Amino acid sequence: MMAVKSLVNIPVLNLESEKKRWNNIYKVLSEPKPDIESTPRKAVWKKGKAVLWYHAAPEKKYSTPLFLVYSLLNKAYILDISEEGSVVGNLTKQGYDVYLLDWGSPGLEDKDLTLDNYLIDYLEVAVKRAIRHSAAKEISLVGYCIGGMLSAMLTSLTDLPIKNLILAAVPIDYSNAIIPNKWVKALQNGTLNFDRFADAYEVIPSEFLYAIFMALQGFNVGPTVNLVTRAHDQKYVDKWRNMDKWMKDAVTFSGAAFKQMMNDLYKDNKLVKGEMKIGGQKVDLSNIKCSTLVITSTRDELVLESQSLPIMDLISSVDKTYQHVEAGHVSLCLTGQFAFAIDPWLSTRSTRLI
Amino acid sequence: MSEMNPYDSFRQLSEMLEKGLNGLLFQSINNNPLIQVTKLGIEANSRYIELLKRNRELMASYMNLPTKNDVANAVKQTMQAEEKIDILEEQIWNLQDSFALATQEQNKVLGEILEFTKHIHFEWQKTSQELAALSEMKNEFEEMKKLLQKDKEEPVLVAK
Repeated sequence: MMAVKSLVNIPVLNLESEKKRWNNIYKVLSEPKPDIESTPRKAVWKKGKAVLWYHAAPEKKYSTPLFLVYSLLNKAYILDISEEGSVVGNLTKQGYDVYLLDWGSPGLEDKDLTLDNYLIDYLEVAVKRAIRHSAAKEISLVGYCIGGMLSAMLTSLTDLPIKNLILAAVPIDYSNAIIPNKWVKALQNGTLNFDRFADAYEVIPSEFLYAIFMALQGFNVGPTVNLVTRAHDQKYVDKWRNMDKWMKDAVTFSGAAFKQMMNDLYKDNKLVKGEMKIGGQKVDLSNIKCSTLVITSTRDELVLESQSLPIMDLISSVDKTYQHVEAGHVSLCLTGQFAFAIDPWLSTRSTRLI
Repeated sequence: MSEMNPYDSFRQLSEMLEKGLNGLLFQSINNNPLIQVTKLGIEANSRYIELLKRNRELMASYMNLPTKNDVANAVKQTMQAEEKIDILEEQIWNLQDSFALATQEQNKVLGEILEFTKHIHFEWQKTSQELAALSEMKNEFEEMKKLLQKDKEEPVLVAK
């Protein structure tokens, strides 16, 4: 049945699709959250709560594998949210073997984990294991958000063979943030200090992080309105429900790492100044010499473009590219668009299998 | 969908409203008194949680109950063991690698020895052939010597 436009241009409701729409909305409201179906994967290494997943390409085209590092503040399964149209799904289809490091959600026993631990004991070991597992000579590191910051730090510190570095929506400069400027100043001059808070809680509860994300988005009726608008489209509803599950599935965060982030990054902005120390060693981003791609998105609601840009000048890579894509912080990953954004750059810089 | 979605204008309107409200919110929370209140809130909450934790531990110790802290400490031991296994595994890799390298080297040396032996064998064959030729020559010399001696003796007999 087609909707018929009346003379005064008032759209006539199509009963069929209306029935579908409200039925779907009822389902979303009443049914439990969906199970996420990931692309075929195998756990290569586990440590504490972290898991290193291996997603083999159905038709491998490149011998250089990819290593994905997601943010510490969200769950990594956004990259692998469905077999169709997820970042991992698209990348494997493009012929890359993909390794994905899932940080997991820290428990009370992980309260002392710092960024140093995450970098040296988790990320570096995981990359080493991925290289060993793939038997490849080199690997491409792809970091998203805080994961991008960690990837950049690791590349500058390690002597592991990292061929390409891709950083997406990466916060490097903390002199500005998405929050109002008086709050940024309060964080910088120590008026707002979370040390005692982090010590008291030991592990930052997931509810707190969820509340912060919600607060950063302000009035966020967009997703709900989008659902109502397109609820008659089953495919969209399925995707929406996956996204909704992920959005509400927040992680805990180790208190020590939270303190470190607040003090070293938000307060003192040490990374850009070259004063950040990891494992007693200064992080010097100019040690990054491999091919580098930095991606920012136009509608990023969590990381400003000005937070990512300074890295272009800080690294010493000769082959460096900056790309500004039309997407939001989450939607870039959610839609799997990220895989298409990096493929043209990456395919020319990965070793092809003959 | 080709047909017009009756909710599209509703969506556009709400988008506009959301943007406007968010702008307003952004501006309205950008003030110092609110930051001070937040600071106090964080402080008070931290104190409360500290107190709660202290009381919890106290109660648990009176009642001789393990707390989540004890469980966390036990888990830490397991994680240490896990780390040690990882280190061992990496050492095994190193051993494997050096074994592989050693075997490769050995194979190379063995190959060289084999090549050398073959060469010696060939030389040996050549030498024995030459030796055989020399022996034959020697035999011929012997024969010649014998014949010469025979010749020396015979003229005496003739003279008689």
